[in-house]
Amino acid sequence: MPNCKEVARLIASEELADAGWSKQALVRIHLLMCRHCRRYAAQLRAIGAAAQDRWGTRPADRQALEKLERSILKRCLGASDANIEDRRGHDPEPPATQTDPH
Amino acid sequence: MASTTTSGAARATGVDDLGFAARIRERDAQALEEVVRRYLPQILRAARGAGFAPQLAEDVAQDTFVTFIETAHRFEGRSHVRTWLFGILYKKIAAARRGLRRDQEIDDIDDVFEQRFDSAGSWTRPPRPVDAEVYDAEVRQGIDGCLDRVPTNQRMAFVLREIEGMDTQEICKVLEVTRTNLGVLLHRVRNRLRECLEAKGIEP
Repeated sequence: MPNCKEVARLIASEELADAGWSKQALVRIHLLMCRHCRRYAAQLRAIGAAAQDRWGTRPADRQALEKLERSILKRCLGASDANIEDRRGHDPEPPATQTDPH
Repeated sequence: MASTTTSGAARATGVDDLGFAARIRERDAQALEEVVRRYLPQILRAARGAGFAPQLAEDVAQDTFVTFIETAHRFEGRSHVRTWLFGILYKKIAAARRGLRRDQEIDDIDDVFEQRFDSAGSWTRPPRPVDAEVYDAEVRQGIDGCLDRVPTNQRMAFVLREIEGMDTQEICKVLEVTRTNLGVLLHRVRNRLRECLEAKGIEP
């Protein structure tokens, strides 16, 4: 039977799914019997849900998004070589031929 | 949300097609436009989740797509476009945060976790009973400050898993870590957040 520490570790690392069938069953039994570990699991779920709530929504400002889209496409497809070389990117290779967006 | 539907939706519009990969490599304007349209909201959201203020998040998102298009000729269609894009985003975030904390060595959260248990592996300071609704509301209030102190790779693992809903296999590819390493990252970030919230008195 896994102890609380093992169960907590398996839950937080999400390695339970990779564990064997019998281990999964033992963890489930442990959770049925151990309210501490159940609380721990519930707290981690609440933390995930809070993050989803806080950052999970798509940017509401459709206009700002479209503006950024246009700016990216302009920079990527219409950019001059000088602009691209000027960038502080990590790609040492010069870009291949530019595609005319029109 | 996005994660569960992406592969089906992507197939429907051809984003997974080999032909699409070829079009990306050839810098086909329409294909690139499709990529930007489809993934910009996700990339932007993840950049915000990683802790960037709105304007900086826009900058890092923009940089991500520029690098994507500059390196499009190397895209082989072996990984999903999304995986490739998030990989670039992660490198941008890490560069902006100066230096990847990839090391899996010592992290004080591991000690904190260990101290929660006795030698038999039972809780010494178990999570106390909480009213679920109250806890949820308080976690929402407190989580911002708690994520600030999390190392970049742990935070990204958390963002990709909880906010983007990516599966663990894809996250491993994005962060270039093994499944075991990802387990360590998720374990650390979740315990760090839990401890931080508890220190704020959020666990009554």
